[in-house]
Amino acid sequence: MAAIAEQHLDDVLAYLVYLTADHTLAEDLTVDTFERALRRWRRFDPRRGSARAWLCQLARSAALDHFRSEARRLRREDRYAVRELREVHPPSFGEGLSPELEHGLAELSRAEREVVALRVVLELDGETTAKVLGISQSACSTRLSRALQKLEGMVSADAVA
Amino acid sequence: MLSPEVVAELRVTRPVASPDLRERVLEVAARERPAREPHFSLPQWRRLAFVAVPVAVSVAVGGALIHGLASSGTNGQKAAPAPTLAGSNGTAVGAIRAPKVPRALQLDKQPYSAVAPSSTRLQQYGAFLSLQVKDLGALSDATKRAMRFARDVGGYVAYVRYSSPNRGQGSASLIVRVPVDRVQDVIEEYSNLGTILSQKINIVDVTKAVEEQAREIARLKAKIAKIEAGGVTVQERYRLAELQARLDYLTKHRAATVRRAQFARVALELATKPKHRTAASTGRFDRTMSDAGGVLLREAEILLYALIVAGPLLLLGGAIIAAGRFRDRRLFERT
Repeated sequence: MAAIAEQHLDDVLAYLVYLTADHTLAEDLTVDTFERALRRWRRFDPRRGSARAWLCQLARSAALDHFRSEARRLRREDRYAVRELREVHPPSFGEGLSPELEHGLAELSRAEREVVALRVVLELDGETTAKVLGISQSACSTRLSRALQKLEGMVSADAVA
Repeated sequence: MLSPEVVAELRVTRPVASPDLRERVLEVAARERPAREPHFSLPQWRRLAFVAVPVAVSVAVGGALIHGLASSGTNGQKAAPAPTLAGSNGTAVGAIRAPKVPRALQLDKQPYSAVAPSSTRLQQYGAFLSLQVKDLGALSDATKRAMRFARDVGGYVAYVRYSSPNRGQGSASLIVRVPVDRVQDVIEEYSNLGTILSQKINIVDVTKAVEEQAREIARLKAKIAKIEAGGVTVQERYRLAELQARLDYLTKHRAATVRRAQFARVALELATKPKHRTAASTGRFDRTMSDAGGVLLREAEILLYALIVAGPLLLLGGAIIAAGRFRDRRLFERT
């Protein structure tokens, strides 16, 4: 388990950073992901997929739980009108990214960013990516194509500006 | 598609775990793994369904086939209850009713034991037999054989009716009178003519009645003799004629009673197998399939009932799951 954690830690973190657009939150979720992996280690079956894909699925599940609790928290705060007290973090996807690319990524939806992270950054194949996302391969390809087109358009527009 | 420069930039600048995060994660990974899952869960439920559904279907079909095989029997006949004794049926001595007789009695050629008449007392013996024969040919043969045997034992045929109104279907009714000391032979012979559907035996003891009649006849004869010995006056002529008439009646009545006690009355009903029974007694495979189909139908009824009961709950569960997925999708559509 320790060897797998050492090997895939950066992949899990990168995926979560792209998904959440929040480096601090991504780090917390990364720890949560490996906590889950330790608990569910007996369920891991190498014949059904690689450890990296399995960890990405767990990371996605952890992020989804966080998004749900966050949505509940926001609804609660809306009910008690404390919106103005919320702390808003600027999106950050990694050190050294050009401002155009950073802005373009920030404009993408979570679903679009995660498919970019899995296919482009982590270089997973289409089948594994579709499995992690829980969608069909064609839907995965469509989503990736749309995300890249959108990102390319925004990067070009920022460069021109 | 993205330009290669952008792709390269994304890959080069990918986030890397800080030493602090690496330490935290490795600390987690170094912990001892729990021996068991802390919570119950359904792992790989799809795989489970792939096994559970065929197993459930196999059990349902297998159970139906086993039930069909078990209930179809080996010779197409289901076991019939043994003959039972019924209570008195308004007769002086009693009545024995045998509604159904196992076919094994016929197949093994074992004689059917009827109640024997008494050799020391006068009894009016009546027997009724209802038999089923295979077809019209067997019906004709059985009718002729029954009539011939009645004559062979010194009896006679009092009534016969033979009819075959439908094609392949027919029936015959016979009433024979046979010497009472041969009635057991007759019943045994008749029981071999086909499958016994029902049997009834009536015995009425008339010894006392005949003895009463004999005493009454003796008294009448004594009175008549006394009147004739003293000379018959005009007034006594009418009285004598009355006594003579009463004597004649009693004598004939007694003779008839004795004659009836000497000859037993045997009624025989013969009928061919009904058409629906012929259709039912098909091969064992057909019966097995029919029984298995019945069981499967029953199982389908139970399943349908369960679905009707659980349907609203399943729909509610499905709606909740769909709503959850829709909500999760919306969470991922946010920037």
